[in-house]
Amino acid sequence: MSVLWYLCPYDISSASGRVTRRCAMSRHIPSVPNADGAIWEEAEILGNHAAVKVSAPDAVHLTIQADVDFLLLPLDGTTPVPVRAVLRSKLNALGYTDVELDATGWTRRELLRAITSVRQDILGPNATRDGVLFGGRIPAGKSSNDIDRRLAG
Amino acid sequence: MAFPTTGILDNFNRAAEDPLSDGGKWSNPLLSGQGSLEVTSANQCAELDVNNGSAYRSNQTYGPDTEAFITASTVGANDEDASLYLRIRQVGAGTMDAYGLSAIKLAGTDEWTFSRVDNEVFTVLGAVITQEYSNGDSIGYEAIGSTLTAYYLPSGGSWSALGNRTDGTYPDAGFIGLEIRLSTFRFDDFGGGTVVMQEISATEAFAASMTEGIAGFLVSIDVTGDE
Repeated sequence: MSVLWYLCPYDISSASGRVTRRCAMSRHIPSVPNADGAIWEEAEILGNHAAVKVSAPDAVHLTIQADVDFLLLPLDGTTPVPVRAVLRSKLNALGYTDVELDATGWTRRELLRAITSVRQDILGPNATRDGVLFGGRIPAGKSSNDIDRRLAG
Repeated sequence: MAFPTTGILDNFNRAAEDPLSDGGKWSNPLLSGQGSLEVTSANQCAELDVNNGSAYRSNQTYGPDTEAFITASTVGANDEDASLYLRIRQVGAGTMDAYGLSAIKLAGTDEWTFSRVDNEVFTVLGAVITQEYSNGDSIGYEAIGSTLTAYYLPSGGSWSALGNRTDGTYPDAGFIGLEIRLSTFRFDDFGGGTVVMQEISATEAFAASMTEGIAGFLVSIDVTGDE
């Protein structure tokens, strides 16, 4: 088992007239407990995405990393400069500013604290009830610290 | 902590009633576009008119630490589900917020999902929990602080926690409610309310303080007694 962090989107469905957001980690680890012993915890962030901590066998991680919607976060410590560019681009696209990203010192711990402190407000289903109307940023209901308390490693 | 800590609010033992009311204690529906729940001639709660129905106890709010539970006298067919809701607020057309727990009947193992509801958009919290349930079993849901816990009671057995999730978006007191999606389910004995915290007797508190070596506790008792 290894423990890694990812960024991934929420999948949105509208079966039976109900608009539902589901963390895309469900594509690869739909239920817990499971035969692989894989578990995960997510925290919503901006841009209809989540930061997700996953404890799973390497084979499961490889499957996750093959999904183009998932971005593997660097291991703990200071993020190498080449990796920062990729992360910055992704997080800018989700709604985070360079100022707030640079303020983290680019350590994974501080970066996770910063990005999981806010999420997108949800204003309701769209007019055709097959999507979500998002508002501005609001305080998040679950932080990276909450995740670390629930999933060690 | 034991579950539940509260009693039954509605056993549905009365004449057939449509919509579900109990003397005005229920309001229907909880979710916009749905039908009402009702009491059948067999003294059960059901949804017989349209595909989906929901209701909530509108006569008072509970919590913020809240629980709800219900017995599925007859479970639904595959792809039907039953849901409990806690900390409900802002009920209206596309405005309802709450925490939901859905127990979905499937051809394979049944699935239980936690949700946070923001303006009637459902955000599933974490992975699905797999737990089969059948006629006579009960579903329970609890919110204490930011921890949401699902409970399961097999018929004739005892309650057990299936799993929990964390979310602090809606920390305040609210209504509790029930939803039936598709219409085969029949329910009995809906209960819940504000969680009753376990009280520790003076003897237990004293024993605990001695065990932990808190000498100040003893001193404070003496001073209070003298006054």
